[in-house]
Amino acid sequence: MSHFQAGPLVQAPAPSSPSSSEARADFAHHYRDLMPRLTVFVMRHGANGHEAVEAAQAAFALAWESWETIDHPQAWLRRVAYRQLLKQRGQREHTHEDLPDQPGGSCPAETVELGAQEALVLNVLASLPMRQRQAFAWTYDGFSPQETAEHLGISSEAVRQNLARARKHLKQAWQLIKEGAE
Amino acid sequence: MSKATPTPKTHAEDDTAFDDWLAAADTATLERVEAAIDLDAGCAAIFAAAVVPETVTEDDTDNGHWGHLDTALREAADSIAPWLALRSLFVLPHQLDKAITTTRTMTVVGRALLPDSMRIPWGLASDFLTDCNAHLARLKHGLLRRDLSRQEAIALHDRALADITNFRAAFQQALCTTTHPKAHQVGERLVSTAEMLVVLLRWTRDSITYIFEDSECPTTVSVL
Repeated sequence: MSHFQAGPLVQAPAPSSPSSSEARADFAHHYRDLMPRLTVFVMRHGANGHEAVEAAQAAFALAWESWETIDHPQAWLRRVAYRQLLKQRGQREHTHEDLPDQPGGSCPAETVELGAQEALVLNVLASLPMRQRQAFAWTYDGFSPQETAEHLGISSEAVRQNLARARKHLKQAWQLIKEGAE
Repeated sequence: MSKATPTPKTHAEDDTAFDDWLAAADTATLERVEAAIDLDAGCAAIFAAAVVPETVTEDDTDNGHWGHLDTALREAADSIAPWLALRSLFVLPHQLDKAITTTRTMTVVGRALLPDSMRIPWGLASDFLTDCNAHLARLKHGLLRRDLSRQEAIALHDRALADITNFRAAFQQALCTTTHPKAHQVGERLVSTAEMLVVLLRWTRDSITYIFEDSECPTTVSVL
């Protein structure tokens, strides 16, 4: 069997851990605090649980290499995790061979077992255009339309419109459930 | 019996119920993701992948007779990394051996390399290292002879973990009291090694729990 020869998804410089003990502790604290939320954020972009954990883990692995230079880890990690998801998908679509290792080592998660309601929300989101998923994901992680607009490189008005459309689709799904229950 | 027509819900009420549904689904998703992710494993994987052997510069080796001790400490910390990447019952004895030898190396290196002005605070901090080494050795030998109960094994492990955590805290506090550059250089390395040990010991707890399974007696699986 031939082996996939491409390099890692991100050609990072030689790893260098944070120089101080405080920075390392800070990183570990952020990892514990943010990793699950970051995974959910990626899932809202249409990723399954495994893809999302991989992308979030890769984002943290890249963050570790330059932790002391990252001013806003919450936004930085979300941007990088999203890009990692796109890269993973690009790799998978273009090869049937083994994928290269992700930054951050093996996936540290078991299968994410979702209930019916959670799966429905994520399935509806996965069926939407990417802009709507992004607007929803950033906004529901507590970013204002203005902040979301800055991170996505679009206008605040476009964020609001895309969020409204995403909510409309989700609400339709919710109403169908309600009607089915009644 | 009257058949009252239900009052139609307003948009606001509808939106509130919809938002509550979304919030409930979000909370449930987050809880399920939290349950699925092993945060210790994920963090350890990043730490382990990032640890690379340091290059010994000429300046380092010019430090005379203790240069090899400095190198030994670097190697002790770096060589913990591969054990963090393995999570299996069968590597538990090696992980405990690594922890035992690392605490010993840290004790020797700290005693030899730290300046005289650090003697007293080092002595206090290194007591925790000595205790940690003793608890780990008792744990390993107890598991080897299968004469530890589950409770005793977990207690020894918890004490060892507390010892290394206390060492780190005590030594870090001592480092704040000195401006000696060599003390900071060696101290940073010792603290970093202690952090790796903490991760390694957290790692081994699951294996120790597992070998006792549901009984008070160690499993018959030959792990040591």
